[in-house]
Amino acid sequence: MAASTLTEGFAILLVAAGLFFILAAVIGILRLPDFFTRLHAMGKCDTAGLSLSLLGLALLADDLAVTVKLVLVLALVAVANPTATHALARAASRAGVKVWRPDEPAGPAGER
Amino acid sequence: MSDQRRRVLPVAVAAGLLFVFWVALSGKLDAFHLSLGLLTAVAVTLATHGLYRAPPQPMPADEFGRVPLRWRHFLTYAVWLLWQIFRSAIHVAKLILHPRLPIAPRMVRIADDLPHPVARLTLAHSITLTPGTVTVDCDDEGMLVHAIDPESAASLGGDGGPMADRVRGVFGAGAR
Repeated sequence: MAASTLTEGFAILLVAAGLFFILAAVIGILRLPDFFTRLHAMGKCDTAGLSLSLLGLALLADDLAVTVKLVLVLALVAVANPTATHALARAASRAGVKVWRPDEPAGPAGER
Repeated sequence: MSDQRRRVLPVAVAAGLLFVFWVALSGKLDAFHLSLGLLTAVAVTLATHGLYRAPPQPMPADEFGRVPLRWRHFLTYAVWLLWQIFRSAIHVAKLILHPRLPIAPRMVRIADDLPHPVARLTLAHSITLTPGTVTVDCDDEGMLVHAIDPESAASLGGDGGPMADRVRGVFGAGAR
């Protein structure tokens, strides 16, 4: 019983940390000034946030099958998220999206 | 005829594997779920098989025919990278939540002298996953990296810095 309470507490900590990073990513999308900096928010905070919450949920699941599925989703996120981040960055760079400089006012992503 | 078979066979095998995967995950064996799985497997295979036309370049083998991946270095690297990903998220979250939003983004070019495509891919993905940097593009001379602040840009040096050394370590001594 004590062990399961410990696991539960740890899992709740993981999910809470994950939610914090997802919240940070969302705030980042709103606050950051251009396409590339927003990619940092999605590519890093979102990946970490999803991974942590999925790990926590995998620990909480009663059914082993559910745990296995959550771990598979975790693996997919870990591979797909950085790949998508890179693909978006490359497409933006080749399409001529400019990098925001600190002396410019913040504009919508991709604004010249 | 045989040419057509050569094109159909990989698609059929891929769809079959996906279907088995579906059944294993769903655990339901009734006609509805099985037919849904079969439809999904075929649709996904048809939608994606065009992506696999170009075979990836194989890693070069040494004189004994072994691929020069050093497992101990690889495991150390994987653990270090996981820690970096976590640090990276904290770094970006701190910047985002800071009242003054202290970012100064820039594009930096790094030269890399890594021995083959898999090593370069590893470095490019590692840069994306580590604090403050995202790999944007890659050509024969090196990589284009977007850094969110000057410290992140400086951590790469001009040639990938300590991270490139670690990747070199994973892919063998002949790397440099």
